[in-house]
Amino acid sequence: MKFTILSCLILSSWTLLPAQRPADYQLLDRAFEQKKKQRLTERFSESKQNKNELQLLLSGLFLTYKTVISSQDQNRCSFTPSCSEYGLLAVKKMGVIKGGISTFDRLTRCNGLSGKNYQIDPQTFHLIDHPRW
Amino acid sequence: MQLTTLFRIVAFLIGATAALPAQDLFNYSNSLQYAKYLMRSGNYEQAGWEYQRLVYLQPQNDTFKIQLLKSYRLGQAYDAVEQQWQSWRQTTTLRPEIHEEYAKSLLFSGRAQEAIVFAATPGMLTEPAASQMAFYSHVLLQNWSEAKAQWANWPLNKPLPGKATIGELFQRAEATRYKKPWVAAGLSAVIPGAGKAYTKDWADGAIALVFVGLNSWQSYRRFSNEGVRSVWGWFHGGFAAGFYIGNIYGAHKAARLYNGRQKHKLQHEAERIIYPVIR
Amino acid sequence: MKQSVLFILLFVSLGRIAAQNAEQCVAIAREQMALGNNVVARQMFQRVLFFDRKTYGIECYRELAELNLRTGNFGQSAFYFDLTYQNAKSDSAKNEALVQKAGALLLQEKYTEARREILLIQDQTEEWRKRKLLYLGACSYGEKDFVTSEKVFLQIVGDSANAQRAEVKKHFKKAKKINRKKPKTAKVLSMVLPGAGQLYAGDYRNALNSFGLNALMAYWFIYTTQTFTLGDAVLSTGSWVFRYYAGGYQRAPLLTEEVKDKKLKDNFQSLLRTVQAQ
Repeated sequence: MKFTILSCLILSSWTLLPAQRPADYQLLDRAFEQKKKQRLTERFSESKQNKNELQLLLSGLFLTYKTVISSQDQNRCSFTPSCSEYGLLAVKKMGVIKGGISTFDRLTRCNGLSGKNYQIDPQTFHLIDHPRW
Repeated sequence: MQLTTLFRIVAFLIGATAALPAQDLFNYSNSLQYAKYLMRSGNYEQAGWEYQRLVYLQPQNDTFKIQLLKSYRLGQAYDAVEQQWQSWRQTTTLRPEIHEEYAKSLLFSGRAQEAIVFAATPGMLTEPAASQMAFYSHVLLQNWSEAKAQWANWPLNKPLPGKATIGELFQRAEATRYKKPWVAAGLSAVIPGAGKAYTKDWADGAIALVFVGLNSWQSYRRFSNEGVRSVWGWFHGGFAAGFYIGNIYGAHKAARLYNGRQKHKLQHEAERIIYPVIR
Repeated sequence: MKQSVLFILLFVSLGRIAAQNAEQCVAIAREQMALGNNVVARQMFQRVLFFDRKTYGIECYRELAELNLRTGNFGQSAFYFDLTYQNAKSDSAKNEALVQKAGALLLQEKYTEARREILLIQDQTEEWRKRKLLYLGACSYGEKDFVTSEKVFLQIVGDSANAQRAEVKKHFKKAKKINRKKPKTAKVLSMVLPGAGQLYAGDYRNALNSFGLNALMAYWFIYTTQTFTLGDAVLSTGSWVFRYYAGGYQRAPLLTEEVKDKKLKDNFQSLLRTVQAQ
């Protein structure tokens, strides 16, 4: 008797286990899934790995600019990396003076009229222009 | 005949037929067939693996060695060519055709300078391959005077397809004019944006002129209205200075980039002529 | 006699072990796939396809489709599921391939193409009728044809399950409500008052952000006008004011689409759970 009850209990407990969703439902769930949003520091990886306080400050300003200000403007920068990203990268790579000077030059080039000089990024259709002295 | 012998023969036949359809997909003939197909269809990476097996199965067959290097080269695995060639060279003496394949890889991977030295090394390439490789290298390196000298006494057994095009290339190279970076920078120092106009980047120059002009004008107005302590005066002044200096540097860089683009165009043309010949 | 049997066994096993025939290649490729060595598995399958497409074609196509599905190459996956379908012999195998291909298309959000595949399913059995309906409903939902999708899902639930019918109807009511938001309205609203379009879309963070930034710009403009002249204000702040004002109304319709898409997807997943609870 005891054995029967025990085995009944064990058998019935099987039904309590969470049932595996059928394959069709799993697939449809996946098809209608939200796209995962990238974190800000992932999207703009140049803001990571700061060597000194100045770079940290600039990276912080850059991220604030990207979240609060740049997220609201017309998307008009014709380059990749964009002008603000270029500025941060340039300063990190060449220091404040050289980086600053090349950023000023970059800003005058960001006019959408001299596209013939650059290669085009096939994904974003922006002009490719990486900072270099 | 004894019964057991008969049984053995029957057993052999059954066993053999059972083994027959179980064809080995990795044996010599299948590997060769698949390798040829992969080369034809442009799957060079996998073709390389097939030729590796073939080289292992028939180490004395030099055709497979050439094909292996070629599959690496066409798959743009130039480091693999280098390593493979070096390791073979240390153990055996190689035929000139294999060395030629290595030289081609040097040309394709942008190491034409090394290809010139390699072509001149005795015991590597035979004539006319050595002279041909040297000529191709000079064209790819844009050493026009050397290339022309070699072209003058070219008839080296294997003509280039479309002789006219190489003559055109020489003419284009001669006609190409370069910009002087320091002239561009100087022009921009006198009139902001002028250096960029000199390098044919009119729009960039105009924008720079407007940015420098507007900022200096605003700064001048603020300073004349509010005196030296005007914050906005300093702000606009700073931007004007930044754009001014940035433009001088930018003009220098624009001239360098302009020259780079001219070189690149010639390079593209040279590769368009040379690469199909040595492919 | 004993010897002869041994002989036969020896030859048969030699044929199987020493050589790697197509069958063994498929087995090895499957093993590699299970281990996660996708590159090796892919090359093995391709090799088998080259040598023995006739016998092992369908298996290799199916596995390659599976492999591409796993590595996120949905386009390639759909291509191989299509080949599986073309080579399948039985109705149920054909149906299975069609469903899989439709799945690969759905993962690329190609709803109309997926529906075209689903409509080819032979639904003689009750099971296939149900599966076909489920996918048809999903495709219509993806195409934002909620009327058709609702009908299909009600059919799946059946006439007797009243509570569930009510749940399904509730979900579609919600979907229609979400879908009513128009990007153009958001654009016009943001033109009238910066941030209003974002608020309408349901993106509160960006609404506040856009409003705040535009208010700041407006303040700067007015301050410059009052302290100096209108000309000064236009010259020094005009382009900035316009930049964020225009940015606001250009981004509002995009945000509306984004939020709508997100909400509709959430709603569909919730609908699926309801239907599955049957």
